[in-house]
Amino acid sequence: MPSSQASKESNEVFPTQEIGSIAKPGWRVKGVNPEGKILPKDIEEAESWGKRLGAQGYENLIAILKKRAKGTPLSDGERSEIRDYSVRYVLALFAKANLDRVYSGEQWRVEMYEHLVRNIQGFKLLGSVHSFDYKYFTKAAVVSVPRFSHPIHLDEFEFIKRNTDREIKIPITGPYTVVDWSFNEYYETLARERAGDKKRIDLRRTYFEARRDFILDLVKNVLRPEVNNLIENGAKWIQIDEPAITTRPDDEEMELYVEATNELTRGFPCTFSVHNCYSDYKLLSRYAPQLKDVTQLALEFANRDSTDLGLNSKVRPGYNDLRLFEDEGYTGGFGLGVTHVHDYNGAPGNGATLEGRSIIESPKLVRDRILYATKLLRDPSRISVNPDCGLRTRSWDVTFKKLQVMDEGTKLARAKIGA
Amino acid sequence: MSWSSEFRVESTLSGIHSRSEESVRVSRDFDRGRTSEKELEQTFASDSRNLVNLEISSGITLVSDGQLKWQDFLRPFSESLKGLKSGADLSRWFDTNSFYRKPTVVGEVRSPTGSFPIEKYEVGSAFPKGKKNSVKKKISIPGPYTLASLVEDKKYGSRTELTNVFSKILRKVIDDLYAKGFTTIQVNEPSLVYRYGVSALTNREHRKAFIEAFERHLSRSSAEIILHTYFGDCTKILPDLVELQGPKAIGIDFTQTSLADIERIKFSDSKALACGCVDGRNSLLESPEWIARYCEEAVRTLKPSGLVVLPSSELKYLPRTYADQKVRSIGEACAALTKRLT
Repeated sequence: MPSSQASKESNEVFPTQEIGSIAKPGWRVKGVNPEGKILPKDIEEAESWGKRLGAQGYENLIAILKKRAKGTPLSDGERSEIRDYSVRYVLALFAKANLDRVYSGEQWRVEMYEHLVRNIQGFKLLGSVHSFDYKYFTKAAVVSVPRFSHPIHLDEFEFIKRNTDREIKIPITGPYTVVDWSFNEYYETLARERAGDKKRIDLRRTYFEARRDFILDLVKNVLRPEVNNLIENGAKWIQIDEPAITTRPDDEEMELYVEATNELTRGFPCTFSVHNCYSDYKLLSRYAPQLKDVTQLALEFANRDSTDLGLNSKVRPGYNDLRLFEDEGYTGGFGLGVTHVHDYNGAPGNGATLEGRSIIESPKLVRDRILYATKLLRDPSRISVNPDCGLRTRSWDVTFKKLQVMDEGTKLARAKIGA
Repeated sequence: MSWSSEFRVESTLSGIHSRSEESVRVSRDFDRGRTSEKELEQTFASDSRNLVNLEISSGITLVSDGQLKWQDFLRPFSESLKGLKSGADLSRWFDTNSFYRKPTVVGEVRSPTGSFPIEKYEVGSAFPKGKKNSVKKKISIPGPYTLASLVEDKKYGSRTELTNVFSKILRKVIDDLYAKGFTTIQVNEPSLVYRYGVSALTNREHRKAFIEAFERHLSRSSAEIILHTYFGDCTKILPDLVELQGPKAIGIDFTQTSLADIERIKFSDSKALACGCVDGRNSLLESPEWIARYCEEAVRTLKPSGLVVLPSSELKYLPRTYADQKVRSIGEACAALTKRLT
């Protein structure tokens, strides 16, 4: 265990956690690719972060990268080592930023959706689809009944267990998001066949039933076996990533989401949280109390907040949505998004500064966001602190600053309430 | 040529097309500072040329450059119209997994000085040069009600008033586009029929405001207008649309609207049907024969004065290979229908 990853037992309020992915460094992307060309700047980056973070054995990584930079092909084992080092670096980064709950920054994964569907029988990757600006994602079609063929996250989890003794929270992509982001070829074809030549078809019903069949098969055949496997091997906390919830904002879809989640988590001895962002919280809040085994909702709030300091509803509009959940009777915890994760346009308020296209929140702004949420919820033990979402669109410099600020702001908030 | 003088069959795309894998790669590199703007421009230009060539060779009759440079469907407007500010916050584009930067209305909305700067967003070089090779150029733009529904309004406080404001501005935009060679303009109005939240389906006042504003400002446009509705079932609003003065064709998303539900609604003698039976959001590929059969049935049922074969929505929700295959099938179906129906 490297010194920077010393054991951390935390019983403090406002535990800090990451949400998901961290940008893959250039040396990681190029090093894992057999055709990748390692440049001097990649080696410099690996060396400087290795020193800065005290990443265990980084000198070995540098040696491998230098070998590749000279044009020598790397073995499969060496390329795997590069990938493993990127996880070690992320764990060291999280440790240095004093996070309580950690994972890998998803360095082992291509992307949250693609990684999962690549490893499930019944999906076919079709190509890239536009998300926004110059951002895209690879979209797959379900072409037969989804089947579990091998553990998807177990090796990654085992590696992390060996490399940290912080609390581990494993993110897995949730069933509703997988279904919503996939072309539903198989089940829609079945549904159309069932409808036959009937002239009057309820199109909405037909598509909905096809989605329901898809999601329930996915949960039963793939995700429950995967979760079971992780728990049998020591997983204590699983975060179900569901960015797609509320994409189709009606009761029928939300009921489907709740049904799938409850079915996924049913009977497992594990803590489950759900991550959702850029979403309709008015709608989500109505269904949150129905999630039987979910004890935390990790949500984005900073994006919808002002960047001025203060503790009143006018300067903290983003966090007023917490009231929606309270009003609907949700009594679980929150992963409180306190730092913005995308490009920021415009002039920041007195609680933040701009660095290129990123906003850097001040510790005082983080403090005020936590304290305002505490005021609304009246129970600090319900709050964990995290960025709005994964920080993968930010540079490591910005990511590190944001996580440090989050830690400092959390300490200020703890001090303020005397915890 | 008017739709009412003789039955004619056209075919077209419905808006922003899917970017090629090469454009995806280069634009990602550009975003990460790994390549130049020049290379990005060249890549989009080549991508658009390939698409236009595909459209022409497939028999698509109203040809678009694919609007590949449009970062989202509202961006050219939020960046060009006075009184609008391009937003920082990402908002979901209807019930898709794509996003747009929500424009904010910060002052009186007005047309840009001079003509609408379409050159910034269009790949003019994609279209063939010379009279001999000329094609009917077409472009899709957001309609006034959709614009009014999707902006964050800090000025007017009324969607109906904004619908009127945008209608007036769009008239000028359409005239500018017509002057630049776009003889057909597709006005996309997903918000008219979107089934979630407030729409003209459920709000009579909105529906009335849309009809009045459209007829007041857009009914005598120089360009031929296709008014396309999608992402929702248009059954409730279709009786108003077939009577609407201005559009030459009314578009229906038949992945959301059942033909059986609208069989009693008849198109007027001067309204063509834009038949959105090709699913813009599903990778399942419709065969040209299936498309032709569906369109024939729709024409028999609704008795329009003409036909436009098109995808239910933009094809940007599909990977390029699949979007292109749908283009080929639409073109082939259009050729078959021209023989059968004219």
